[in-house]
Amino acid sequence: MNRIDIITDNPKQTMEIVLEDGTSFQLDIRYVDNQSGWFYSITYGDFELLNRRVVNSPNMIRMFRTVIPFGLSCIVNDGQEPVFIEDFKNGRAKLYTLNEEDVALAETVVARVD
Amino acid sequence: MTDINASPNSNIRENISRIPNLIENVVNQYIVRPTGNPNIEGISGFVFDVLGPETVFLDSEITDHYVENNTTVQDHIALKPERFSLTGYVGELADLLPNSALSVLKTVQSLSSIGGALPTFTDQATQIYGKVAGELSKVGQVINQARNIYGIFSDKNTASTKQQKAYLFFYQIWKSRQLCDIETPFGILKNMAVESVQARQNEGTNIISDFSISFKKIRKASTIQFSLLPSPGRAQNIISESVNNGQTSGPEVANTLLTQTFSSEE
Repeated sequence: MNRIDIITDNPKQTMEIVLEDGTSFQLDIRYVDNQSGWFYSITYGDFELLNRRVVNSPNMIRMFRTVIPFGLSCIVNDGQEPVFIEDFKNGRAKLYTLNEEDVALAETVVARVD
Repeated sequence: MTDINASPNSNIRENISRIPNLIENVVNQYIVRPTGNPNIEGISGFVFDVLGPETVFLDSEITDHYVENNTTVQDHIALKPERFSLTGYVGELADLLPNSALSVLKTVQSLSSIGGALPTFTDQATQIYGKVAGELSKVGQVINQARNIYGIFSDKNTASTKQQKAYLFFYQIWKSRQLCDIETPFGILKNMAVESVQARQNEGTNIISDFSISFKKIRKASTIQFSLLPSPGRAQNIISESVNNGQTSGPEVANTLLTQTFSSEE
């Protein structure tokens, strides 16, 4: 689980996130004032995921956990949602990449199977 | 023979030559023929036999916005299009003022000349007179090229009475949504469309009709192109360029953060 610490308060940002296995994916995020929220897009090889809202979640892309070998988590300090353009800059909200072990751990948080 | 091109006569000749061009330029800027008496232009060329009241309406919509202390503030003024209404009479027989200049001309043209009494002119004066007469005929040709709306529409009807012709004229400009240039006592109104026409013949006569017509100015929207840059606030964020933050794998964090954060609600 690695924290993406290069997000600023710029309304449109793009970055390349390097994974543990040496591969990388492109992360585009943008802030939409009218929606009071952040939106992200992921490009990983042929896999493309566009314009999904950043929400407080252990794994925002858990439905693709069998398709891609990583996850993306967003944790907001106060338990609410990232709604301000400064949220990632001032640390109120943080984004994390999850490896396969982290994705499995996140599943235990999301759905408990007895 | 005297050369009329020599100064100062050459200036006179040049000025005379410019007259047709001047008239042509003026004529082509008008739909309505610009010549004639003040009332001859009328409504795109149509002139009533007797003019009634003419009224121009300049209205604006001023909003009332009620505030806390039970008074109103007026901070919007919307200008309505100009409107014009007039009433006129059309009769089968009209007693119009004689055109005195025309009658004098006809009288002069009917007189025969008496050779011995004719004045004598120098060759120079005769040539200038000939030049003026030549240019004058060109002016007449140019003016006759100018057609007015009334002339165009009046060609299309076969009415036998003046009242019918007047009605058909207004009916046609109303039905065809024709924009008119109207001469009023207060100035020329352009791009006026017929808003209503009332043609009325009273029970006491069948040779006079009165028409009440109102016009409304047509104002059309036009497109404007402008740049969004620089834009304030939200618009600035939408149109801003994407910033490349580079490459990172990020500092490693213990994954117990997941369980601590999302299991704490229990």
